[in-house]
Amino acid sequence: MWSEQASEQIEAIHTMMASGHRSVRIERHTLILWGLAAAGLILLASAIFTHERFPVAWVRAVTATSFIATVLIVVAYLDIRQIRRNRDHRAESISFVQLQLTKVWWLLVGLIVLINLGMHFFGGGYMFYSLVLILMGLALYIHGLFSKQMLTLAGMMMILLGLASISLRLPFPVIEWLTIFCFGLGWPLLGMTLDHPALNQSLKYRLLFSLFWLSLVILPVFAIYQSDRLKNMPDATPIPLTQYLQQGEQIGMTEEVVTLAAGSTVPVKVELTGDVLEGLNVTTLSMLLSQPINISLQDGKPDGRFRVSDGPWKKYTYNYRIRDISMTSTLDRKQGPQVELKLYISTNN
Amino acid sequence: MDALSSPELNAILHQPVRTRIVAYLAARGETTFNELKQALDITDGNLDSHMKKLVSVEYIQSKKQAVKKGKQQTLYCLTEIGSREFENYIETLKRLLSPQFLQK
Repeated sequence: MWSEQASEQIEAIHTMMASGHRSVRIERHTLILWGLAAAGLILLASAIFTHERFPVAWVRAVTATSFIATVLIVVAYLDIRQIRRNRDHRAESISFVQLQLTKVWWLLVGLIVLINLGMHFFGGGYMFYSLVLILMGLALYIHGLFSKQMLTLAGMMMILLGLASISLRLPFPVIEWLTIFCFGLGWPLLGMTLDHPALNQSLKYRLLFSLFWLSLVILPVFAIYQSDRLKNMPDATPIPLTQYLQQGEQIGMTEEVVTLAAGSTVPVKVELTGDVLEGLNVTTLSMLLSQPINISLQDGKPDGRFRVSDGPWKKYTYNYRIRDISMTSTLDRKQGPQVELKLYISTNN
Repeated sequence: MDALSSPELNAILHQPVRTRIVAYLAARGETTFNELKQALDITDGNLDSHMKKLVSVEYIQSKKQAVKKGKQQTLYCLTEIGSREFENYIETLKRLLSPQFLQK
């Protein structure tokens, strides 16, 4: 019996010493405030800064970045003000380590804003939310090293989510929703439960909570994706392209499905401009289809839904991506100057 | 012999809450009452009674530190006696768990 008591005491000492070494404390409101702000920004920014509202790319980039930066500066100010108030209320000071960690946090947030601006000009936007998950996961992980062990686990989960979203080639809207739920639901939940004694004393509870947290973040995204896929199926009967072209303008026809047969060609209008190009260079290429494609139209315009052969109905925003873009230029005596542009059109993610 | 009544074990430290308080302070260096309360997840009254006990035997001491706007905060830390007794207590626990002792 006494050996059990001695073991328990030793374990309690280990736990409390580990807790004592982690001298930084993240306030509950910090995770709630930053989490809700990030989720709100993702929802708002993609709705406000559209191609239609801001057709000029650099204007859209600068306006969106200024808006995001302003909101985040306000959030940072509100956060630090509330931390100081809480500490004053408890007659405590903010430790030196905590102040340095706060600076690291702000730097990582600033880096995300800069990456966002850069991606407007240099591309790579597909990876943006994965990078957000990885960088803010890193922020949590670093904070967790000096405060709560649960934070290091949450940080690791976010980093893994970010890496998995890229390596599994998840569709962009899925990564976007994953980021929204991670911040909008995952962070406030983390903030509200972080001080629970069970999470600080037992690894078993921390792992169980991590599983619960992951499922809470991932399952709604999966549900949204599935519901979107079910909504994808148009009711109209497919008609061949020749029949569609013969029909002329259809009045009152809300939904149509047109089949482009395998072997048919689709013209691709290419427009090139640049600082060494004179005006707008327009040319038309031909794309030869290897498989039939059904295209859904709503009120006479493609609505983004398509189906390859007998496969499932897909959505342009989820499953259509241009990747592996490369451009090489050569100059030889036989052909003279030549620019070769290669790209791969993927409908499988 | 029951460990609780073992003459080898320090009766002040061999109490779950007080063990945790001293272990936390040993790692943390110094801390406030509120931080301790949160780390231990116990009530003000419970913590206060154990702190008084530890202060009375000079295992821990308190000091005032100025915070912003003329406010002061009370910090608690282990004394030399407290640190030494805590190390002795851990050694005793380890001895009680050693194979030689378990075979007795």
